[in-house]
Amino acid sequence: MTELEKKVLEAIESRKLVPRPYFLFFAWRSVFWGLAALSIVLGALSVALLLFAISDYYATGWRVFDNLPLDYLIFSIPVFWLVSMPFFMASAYYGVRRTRRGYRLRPASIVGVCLAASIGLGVLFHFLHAGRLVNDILAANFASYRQQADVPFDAWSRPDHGYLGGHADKLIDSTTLRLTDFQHKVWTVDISRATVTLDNAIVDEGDVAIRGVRTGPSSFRAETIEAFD
Amino acid sequence: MRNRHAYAGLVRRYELVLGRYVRRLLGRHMQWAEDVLQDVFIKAYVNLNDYDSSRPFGPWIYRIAHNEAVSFLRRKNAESETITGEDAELILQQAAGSGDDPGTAWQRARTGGEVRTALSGLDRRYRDVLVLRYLEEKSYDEIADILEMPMGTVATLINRGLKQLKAPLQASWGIL
Repeated sequence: MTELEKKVLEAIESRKLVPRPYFLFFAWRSVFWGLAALSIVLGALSVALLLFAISDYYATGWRVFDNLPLDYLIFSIPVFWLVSMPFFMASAYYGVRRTRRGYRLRPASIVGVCLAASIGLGVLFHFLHAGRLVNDILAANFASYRQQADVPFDAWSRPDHGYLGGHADKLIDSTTLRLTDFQHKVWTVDISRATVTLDNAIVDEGDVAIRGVRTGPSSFRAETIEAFD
Repeated sequence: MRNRHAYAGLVRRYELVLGRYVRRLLGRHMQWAEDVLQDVFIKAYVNLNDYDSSRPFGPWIYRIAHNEAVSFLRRKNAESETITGEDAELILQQAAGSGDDPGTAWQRARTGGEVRTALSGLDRRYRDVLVLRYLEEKSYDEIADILEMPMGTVATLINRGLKQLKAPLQASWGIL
């Protein structure tokens, strides 16, 4: 036995050292994998929200409202996404780097893969309507979000300006529609002179977007009726 | 206890190569090499369960040795003197022999002093890869594991390190 062997064994025995259990290392690495996964999921939700804003813009008939389309899209991008993206990317980079073989990857590769994963997952989330869900939650809970993002439900809740959106409940007669708006107020809508652009019958459509003129406290005359989403 | 004695076998197996490597890293502080080496083996023992058995053991324990030596130097507030003049000549010789460096700058080395001067300006990250590549004879793959960096970065650092090592020599010999 060499001198060093003796010294090492003596030190191990005198200090009563034992190998740290495997689960400690596993848990430590899991924290970093978790950070990376979290950054991808949050990025994906942001992408889904962005896609929702874009698709909503197209789905509601390219309406310009008070802004140019570009402005509309820019204000639809949630500011928090832009602000938090560097943090998400940094946490993913640090997380992957701290895993067993993560150091083999180039920083650009890690960021690129995370970005691609976020976009891919975000597209999937978009088709699962996660973007709308996030939008609803943010709009319901954060006034600053409502101010920053051009929330479509708010935009279609301006009957005095000629924009009325909501759920088409039923046809009272062939020219009158009963509609419940996004604030749950019930409207009577005259659709006798409206241009209807819908794939389905109006009461089967669900949410609709109506342009026209307010004619009373809870009455509206429609000029165009289109699907809301 | 039986495991500890089995571990002694590992200590025996890596004692010489790691001892040499640690001494190279410590440079003028090499009198502390044995203490650092002891810490390396103790740390390796405590972290044994972190070792990925699907990978070779060598780079894993080299990494611990590297980190321990660097930490020691940091505590001593000293810059590593990774390479002696003789080692530097050996690096250039090995580089020429391996085909990594088609030049024969090492053959022009007149004094160890010139080479030492060239090395004094070399960044530590270049010295680290050059030592591992040409003195410890590690593959790019192993160096990537030891220094925890991508293989492409290892190749780049070796290339740049050799160029930096040669530049002052070429200038003084007037062959630029």
